[in-house]
Amino acid sequence: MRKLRSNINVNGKSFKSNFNQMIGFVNDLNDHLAISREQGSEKQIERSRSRGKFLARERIEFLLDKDSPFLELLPLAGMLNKDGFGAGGTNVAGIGLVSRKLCMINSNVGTRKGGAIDFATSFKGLRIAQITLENKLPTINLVESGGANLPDQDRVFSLAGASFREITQRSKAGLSTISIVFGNATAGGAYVPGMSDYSIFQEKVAKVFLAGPPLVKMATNEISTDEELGGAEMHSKVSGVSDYLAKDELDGIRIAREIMETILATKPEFCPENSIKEPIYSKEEILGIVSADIKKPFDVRELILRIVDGSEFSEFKAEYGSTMVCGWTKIHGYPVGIIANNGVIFSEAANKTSQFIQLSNKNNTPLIFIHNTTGFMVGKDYEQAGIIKNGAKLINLVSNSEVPHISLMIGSSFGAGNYGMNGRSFNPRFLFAYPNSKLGVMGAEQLAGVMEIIKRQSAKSLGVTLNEEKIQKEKQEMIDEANFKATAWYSTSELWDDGVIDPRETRNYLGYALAVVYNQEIKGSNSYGVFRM
Amino acid sequence: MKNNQIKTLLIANRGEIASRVIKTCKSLGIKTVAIYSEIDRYSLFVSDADIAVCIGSNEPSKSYLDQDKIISVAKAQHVDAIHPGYGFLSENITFSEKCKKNKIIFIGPNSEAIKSMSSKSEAKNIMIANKVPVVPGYSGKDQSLLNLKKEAKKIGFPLLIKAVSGGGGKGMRIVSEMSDFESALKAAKRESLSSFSNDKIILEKYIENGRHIEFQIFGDNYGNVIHILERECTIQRRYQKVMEESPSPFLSKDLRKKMGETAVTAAKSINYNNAGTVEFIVDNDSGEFYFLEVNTRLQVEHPVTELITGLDLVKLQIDVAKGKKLNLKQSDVKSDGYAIELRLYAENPYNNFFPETGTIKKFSIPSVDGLRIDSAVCDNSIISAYYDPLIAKIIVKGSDREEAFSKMSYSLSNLVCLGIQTNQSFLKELIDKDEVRKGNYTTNFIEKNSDLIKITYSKSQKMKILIAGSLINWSDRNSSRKLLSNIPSGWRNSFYSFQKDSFFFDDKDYISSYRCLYNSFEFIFDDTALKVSLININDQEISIELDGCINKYSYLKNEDIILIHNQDIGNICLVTNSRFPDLDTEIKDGSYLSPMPSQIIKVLVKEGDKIKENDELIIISSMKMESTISAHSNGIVKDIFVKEGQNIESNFKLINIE
Repeated sequence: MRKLRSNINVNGKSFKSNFNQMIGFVNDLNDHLAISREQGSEKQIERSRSRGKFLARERIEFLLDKDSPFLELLPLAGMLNKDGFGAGGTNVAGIGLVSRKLCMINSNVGTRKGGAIDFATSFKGLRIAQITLENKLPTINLVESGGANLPDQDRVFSLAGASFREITQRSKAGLSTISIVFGNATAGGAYVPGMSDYSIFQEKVAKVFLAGPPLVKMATNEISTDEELGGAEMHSKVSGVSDYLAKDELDGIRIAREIMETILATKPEFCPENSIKEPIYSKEEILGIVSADIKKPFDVRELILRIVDGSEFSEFKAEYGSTMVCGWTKIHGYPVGIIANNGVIFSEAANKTSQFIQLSNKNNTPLIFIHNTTGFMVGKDYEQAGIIKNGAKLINLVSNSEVPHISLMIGSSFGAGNYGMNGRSFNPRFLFAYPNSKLGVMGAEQLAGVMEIIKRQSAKSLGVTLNEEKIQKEKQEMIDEANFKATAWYSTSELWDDGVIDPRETRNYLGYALAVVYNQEIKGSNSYGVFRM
Repeated sequence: MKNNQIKTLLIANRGEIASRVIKTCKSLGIKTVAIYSEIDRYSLFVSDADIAVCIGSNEPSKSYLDQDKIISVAKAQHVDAIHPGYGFLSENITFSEKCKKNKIIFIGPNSEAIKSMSSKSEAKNIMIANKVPVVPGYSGKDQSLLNLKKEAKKIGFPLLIKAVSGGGGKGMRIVSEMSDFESALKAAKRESLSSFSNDKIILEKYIENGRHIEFQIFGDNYGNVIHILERECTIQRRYQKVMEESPSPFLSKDLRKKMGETAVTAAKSINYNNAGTVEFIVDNDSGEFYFLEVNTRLQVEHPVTELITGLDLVKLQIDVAKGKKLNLKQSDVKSDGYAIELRLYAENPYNNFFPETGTIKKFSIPSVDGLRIDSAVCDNSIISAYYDPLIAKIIVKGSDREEAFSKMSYSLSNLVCLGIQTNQSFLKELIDKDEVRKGNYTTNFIEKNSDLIKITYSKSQKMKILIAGSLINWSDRNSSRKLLSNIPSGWRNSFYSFQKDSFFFDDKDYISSYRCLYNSFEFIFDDTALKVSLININDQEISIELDGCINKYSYLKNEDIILIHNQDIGNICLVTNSRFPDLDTEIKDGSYLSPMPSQIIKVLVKEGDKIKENDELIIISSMKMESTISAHSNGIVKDIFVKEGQNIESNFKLINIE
């Protein structure tokens, strides 16, 4: 395959200033991630330690195979929710290897607000469940949670129900869930081990019941103890809710690893060789290339050649519809098709991409969508040339294509361009975003400008005189709010992506995601919706 | 006496000495016949020999000590001579006579000489008659406890009890006061009986600051006897020689001459006619010397003499046995330079020098000018419980004592012997001691320097050990990665904690924390981060760069056990602790396990006995050495899992105390 050549001057002024701006974004990301890794107040952590407990993240480290990588997902979910429990909620979730099998791990952060489930945590849980099911992964839950956060119960209630439904539907699909209970799993939380294929309860510590002694007293006037209602030994010896009685935390984790050895794994469809060619250009340079300011254009090939194997890229229809770059390549040895924006989407670019998606489906090749577009081209000529028709064909294909899709936001992702590029609502298997990226219906200034025009038109038709000062103030407020809501931080807090990433790690993220999607047979689609010709 | 021809020679021995004899035979054009027990089938000496014959099962009594079988093999193979090596039948009168009866030359002195020297009491009496100075003591016939006690009182304490037929420290005890005399006597008699079928003993004054200096003697059938200089073998442990050197740093020219002449007198007094050794004990304080015994065989440490004199003692033995005249006069014997020998044993210096058994997985010798290794092992050699755990003799020659020590120290640092616990690190520490370098030592040097038998690692050594262990394990795992194998090892998108490996060595658990970066590793020790690079690794060697300096390690890994050799660290056995401790099989306090494969000699307690800390519980014997298992806490004997006479493996549960 042909190597791409870079045309970047890495010693240039603009490269350096862009690099510095991007480093600023990466530092912000690292600060947010650092906060997301905090596992509760010092006091709570101290108390937990004094009881000989491990923290949520330590349990994950024990559970994973040695040297296993771990892809933490949605680490910043809910980070901007004022009434929530902070970045990531009270659950650490991610994909790693347990007993040499790809596996989704959920670990309750029992030391953060007692592991209570806030809205973001429960919403994150559903997204994780979706990833688990779509990618056919077994699940291991490390349970220590006081259940729903009561002030949030109205919003959490039905989501929690869905999470139990997910467990059993996965089971039906042959995807096991193993739950190790290290502490409380009460009321609704009791259904996590209750619905799991395998449940492991830690001796003297696990407490699993629908209602504790006070509620039982209220309900039936019966006097009972914690152990009688939900102790690990009771559940292992009497009720049978527990399948394995673990002596301590490590023993519980050991048992889960043992179970993972025995369960049927989905056979990876494709396992690449070990000798993979690294890109010839440094990944550090990505920070100098991908524009920190999304308004500044750059050639997306400069990014591609820094993330694909050997910087090799077989471009499709290079001379046609040049604002979209399509081509085949490999990442970490996995064959993949890349669709990347190189500006506004014109009809030709949309049509080329539609053809490329059909070919990728014929070849059963997964697709990566690299977003950097302000949308489809507007204007008389373009409307008359049927840009809607061509955009619709693209969205038809993106919606009905059955090879796995992975999306990556590297700059703008606005308007229907977001749809055509497989935005969140089109269910890509994974969606990652750069910290500088922005998305929305349109750019903040366009949005405020459009609103201003509409207001002026409306005032004119009503014959009202507008207060110029007020209108400018309102416009600025609108720009500020739209700008804020367009940021990667807002998106990730709202769970519109699966994680904001350090651009330098792009290759590892994509390689990881590809390893996961290749965990099952990839079969492209043969049929699509009706194409308007 | 006529000159006999030796065309074929049988070696009635095994191991390094068999190989040693074969080597000289080859140089003389003599065909060699080795005999071997079943377990020795794949040994080096077997393949060295021209012909090798299986002689029986592993127990020495059924193979290397079975005289009739050996004689019949010798006859079947038309053997002209038998070389007995050392140990086994080398000083056995019946055997030497059986050889004679069957017209086979026994390479050794005449049987009368052997006989008179095989009894310590008789030897002593002969020497007294020939005015050779002997250690004051009792070597009489009356072996009654009453009499021995009386004699002991007369000699005074400390004193030595020695088996009349003993050797190599077997059946020997030092007694420092009367109250210990009886139990020591019993133990010495028991050991002597099991080793030599004779429980007679002699008593001797114990010379506390003694030096053990011996003279190589050589006689022929024509009454010519010379000495071939001395070897100092003062550094011993459990009465077994650890280091031998020549010339002795203690002897003045005059004293050497005087002792040499005395040795010749002693040899002549018994008409000595082959290679032998006259052993003396020299009082370090007064310079007085006393006759100890004559060893009527080729000594383990004979290479020391060979290196400084350039003689081949085995060749001389064969020549004399053939009936040749000794063509060497006393004035011809000249020494050049300086030689030291150390004995590399499969034993644990940090646990009472208990013998170890197992397989040597890797054995390699450094290339050093003047280094001679007499060994019987190679990769995958077995050290069994049936025989002496000698792995190799390391002998070096230097132009002076300092050079010899330097070469020895370097050789010990670079000799690789993995797979079994050895005394290699102990030997290295020993010869690097100032006092040893100065020649300033006595027979109790090792007991006095108890730091030698405790191993301590510096912080930086521990770090190196942990890094090497972690990277060996990592590399092993890394080579079998499949899924996600192109993602960097241990990659985290939100890094939280270092990967931890737990190891057990030096009687403690250690944690190593690290993470893999792109082309290197970051290790954390006490909050210090170290950048470490794995330069190169194959299945036996690893090179690691630390602080800009590359260190090489030889290693062997078998599941959770890693054996490492490094110049700076020596040999070490690392156990990788399981991440998930097996809660059921942890040994509870109160269980006593056998430290090595052994036989139960005596059970001193019975179930239900109340015992105190340090009470003796069980006496075991391994390789004919007795050791006692004592209580490490107060308690009541709950279960006894063994009975007297039982043979057990190491780590066998012996007794349970509550």
